[in-house]
Amino acid sequence: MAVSEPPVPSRSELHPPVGRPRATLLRWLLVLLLVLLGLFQALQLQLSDDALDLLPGEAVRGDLALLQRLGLVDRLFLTLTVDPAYYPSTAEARTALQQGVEQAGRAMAASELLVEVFYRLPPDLARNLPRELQPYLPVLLERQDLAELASRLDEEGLARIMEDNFNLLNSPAGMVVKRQVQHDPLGLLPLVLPKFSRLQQEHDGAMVDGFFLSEDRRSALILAESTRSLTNSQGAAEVAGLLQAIMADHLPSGVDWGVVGSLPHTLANYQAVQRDLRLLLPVASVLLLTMLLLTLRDARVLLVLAIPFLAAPVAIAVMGLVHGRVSALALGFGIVLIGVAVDFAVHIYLFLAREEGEPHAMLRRLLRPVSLATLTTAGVFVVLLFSQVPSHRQMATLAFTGILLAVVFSWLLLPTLIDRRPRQPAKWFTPPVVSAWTHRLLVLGLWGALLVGGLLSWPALQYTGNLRVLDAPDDQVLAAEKHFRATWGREGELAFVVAAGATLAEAQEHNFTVYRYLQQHDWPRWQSVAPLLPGPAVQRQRLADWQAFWAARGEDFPERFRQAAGQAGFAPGVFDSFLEWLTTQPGLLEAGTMLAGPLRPLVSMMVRKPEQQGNDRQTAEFLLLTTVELTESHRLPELLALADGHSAITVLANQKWRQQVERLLRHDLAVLTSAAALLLLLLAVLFFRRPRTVLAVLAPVLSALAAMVLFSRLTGGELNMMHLLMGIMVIGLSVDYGIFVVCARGERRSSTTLLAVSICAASSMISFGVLAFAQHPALHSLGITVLWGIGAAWPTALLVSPVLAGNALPAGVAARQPKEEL
Amino acid sequence: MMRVWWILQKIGLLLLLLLLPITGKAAAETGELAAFLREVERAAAEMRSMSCAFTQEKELAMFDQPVVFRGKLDLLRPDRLRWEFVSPVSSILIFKGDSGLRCDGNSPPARFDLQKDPVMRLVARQLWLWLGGEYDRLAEDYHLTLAGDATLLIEPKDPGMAEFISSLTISFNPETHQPRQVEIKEAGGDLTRLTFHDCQLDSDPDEALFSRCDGGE
Repeated sequence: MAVSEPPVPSRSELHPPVGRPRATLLRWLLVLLLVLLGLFQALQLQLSDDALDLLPGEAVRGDLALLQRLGLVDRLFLTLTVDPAYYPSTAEARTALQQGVEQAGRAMAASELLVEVFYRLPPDLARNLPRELQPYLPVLLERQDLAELASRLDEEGLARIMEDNFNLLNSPAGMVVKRQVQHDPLGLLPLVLPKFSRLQQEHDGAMVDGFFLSEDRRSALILAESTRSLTNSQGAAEVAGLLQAIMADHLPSGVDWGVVGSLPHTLANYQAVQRDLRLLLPVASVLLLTMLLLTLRDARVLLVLAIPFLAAPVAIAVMGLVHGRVSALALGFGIVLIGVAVDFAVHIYLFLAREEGEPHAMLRRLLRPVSLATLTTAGVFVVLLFSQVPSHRQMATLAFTGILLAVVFSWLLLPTLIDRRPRQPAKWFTPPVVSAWTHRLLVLGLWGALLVGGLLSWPALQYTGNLRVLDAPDDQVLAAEKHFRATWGREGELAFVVAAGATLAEAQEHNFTVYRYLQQHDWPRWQSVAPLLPGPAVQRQRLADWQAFWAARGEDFPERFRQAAGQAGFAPGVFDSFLEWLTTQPGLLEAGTMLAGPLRPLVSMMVRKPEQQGNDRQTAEFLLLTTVELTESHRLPELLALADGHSAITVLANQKWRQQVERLLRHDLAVLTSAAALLLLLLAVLFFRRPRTVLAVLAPVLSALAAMVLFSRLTGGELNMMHLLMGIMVIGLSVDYGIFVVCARGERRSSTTLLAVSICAASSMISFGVLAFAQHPALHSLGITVLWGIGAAWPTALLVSPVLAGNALPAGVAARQPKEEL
Repeated sequence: MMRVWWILQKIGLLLLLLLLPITGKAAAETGELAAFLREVERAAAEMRSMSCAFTQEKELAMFDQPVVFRGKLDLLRPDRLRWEFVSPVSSILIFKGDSGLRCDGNSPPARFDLQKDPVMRLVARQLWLWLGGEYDRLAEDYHLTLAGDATLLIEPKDPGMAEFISSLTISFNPETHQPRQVEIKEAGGDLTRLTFHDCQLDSDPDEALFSRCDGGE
């Protein structure tokens, strides 16, 4: 294998940069004007930090938006744990824990960064609750409760109830329950009390002195909601700083704390990305510049890299005009994708600097491969416009516009800067030429094996819609979550059932439908406000049941009751107020009453008014939340069936999103890849016609796809959204290699083209490939995809495409052949 | 009687916030009261066990006449207590550490866990408050006053608690410094009086008394 270098011209033979000074000035003025206009427009752009833009499908995004409106995304779960070794007794350890919770909780509640802070139920709850609930007992008692009560109200039953009350008052606890016995001698409240347990089912533990403590009483739970978005790294850092300060100031010694929820994940991801980029970006920059300077030996190469990025402001402006608000991530990635256009600038530069001839003539010869490659690359990004992921569409717009403009800018400006160079690129960088038949067969054989491997691996590809694969929690986050699960016993996956309504009453009715369903199907563990806040229609029905119940007891019931009380030892008239209450017209229990009462900290977490739903207030809906634990016997499809029958009920579950994302990802991968392949094939056939040449053009793309598929199969990895995005980019890059190589005819230009392709491929591999060493899974996915794709496309473009195109001629033969025009 | 505990348990769910922490060492009043409390605490610390008979008199506005219950008590420090009504109804409560047992009439024994059963925790705290002897520790939550010879008046500082108990008067045996009578005055004038008699100090009650209602092996 050998390559011949063009002879170095003397100084007098050097061609000046293309164009007259006036034409040069006009080109620069035109480009700068566009850049300035683009900058002006781009600065008006509204950036959003919305993670929802990263998700495919309206349904999934709608679900997650609902999750945000419910405040669940910004909810914090803090566990405070006391180490008993710090205290002489268990009781003192618990006291220290409770003091810590009280003080930290109070400080949290006082901060404007946090709302709905639950750390302790009001101390006067026990005193107030019976009094506050008493008027509403008729609407809280269900038919089965009344049936149970009825079975106890015969003569014998009444006597037993009164005897029990009498003995209860004589027991050591009698003095505390005395008032309750007087107001509720029949024990109506105890019939309602089990419903209270539904207010807190999400975590194992018990209320002790108003604190929610773990089974071993060493840990306490604090819940809160952040007013800052916790999926935003800045907001998360602000809240994390606040929590650290509060805990440092208020926790007694021996009491430690941990937090789970979005907060630690956002921070861990942000820190992981920062850590990776801090290390890898300088490494990639140094490697890239070293490679370019060593191979090209020309400082002007920096201009070659910079000019395509002049297109960025205009492309951003166009993206803003097309999409309105755009995702910050789409902006970042889109600008990276514009980097694809650097390849074109490298080709233009190398031709101008290395090839012999008059610059205009060289540019004319370069026009065909550059315009064809631009068309195919831009075409690939047009395909991405049909992705189901909004941020992909935004990136595609940015990349498409950016690449077109970058090529135009490079085409206009580079010839004004680059003349034929006195110094040639380093000689050791010599692209290979496959000449011997044996070598050709070997190359084609290896390539065929790669394609067969890729083809066979394709059906076995695994897709994952699990959004957590792009998550990078650190050891501390994982340890906190493990401790949380161990402490609060939440092992099963949760589903959230949301009942919506234009009014709170309507939402209550729908929420009660959910409650009835869970009750009828014996769901073991769920948390809901519905048992204590049924809808108005249900309440009215219960009032009717209540009145019918007492009417059925007969008019002589009060007398029988008094008689039983007297026989048990009670003084006359003790229960008159209770008997009078039985005959009064009871009222309905309004949600506002419940939310203003002592149970507010628990209830408010399940009731969401429109004004609490942040900026994403598309509809003024009231939302009521039921949290359900999924089990082997009670699975998600059953809940989904409930939601299917009720438009006002939505089920939110990770399992559901995973399935949907997987389906959409599979669809995107199949449809977009096929569309891109079809587009490339059509363009290749249209321009090159001969099947062998078409194959030569597409060979690097096929290699890239095969290598990426094979790698994924061999490592047992699953394809995620990041693979899809970068896969499309790799296709866009590698097809250019094939076009440039095939378009290069003759040994001399083939050498320059192969050198340009090698520099482009090496640049891409360095720039993106270093990310394969990133710890963050998203960056790693991105890097590894590019590394394997370009890693296969590059040698294919150098070795296979020339052989297939028939222009891989031996040096001697090439030198004798006249140049062909393209 | 089984239903008594059932209702008690249910109502207890509402009472959990009333379980005021009876902790926190605070200095008691100096002088006579302090000296007296030291004596009582010393006597309590020296006593390992105690068995007594008791009479409970209740004068409640809700009852048409005063009610008298009789029973017996066995206490083994630091955390075992058996409270038994023998007449007019039979009922037994046993506390052993954080667990317990209750028996009503012919109903099968029911075990409970003080950590999980707030009403039983309340009952246990009340009984240990009367009988535990660690009165000095109450100073943070209660006003303590000497109300005569060997008589301690305890009044809750917390208005919430005062709604239920306005005062607690404990009369001690001047010789043994063990409680002889506990008088609980409730808001509204209701009164509960517990009188302990036939007390045997360091009686070393059978361990089985704190494991089984029938007290057998």
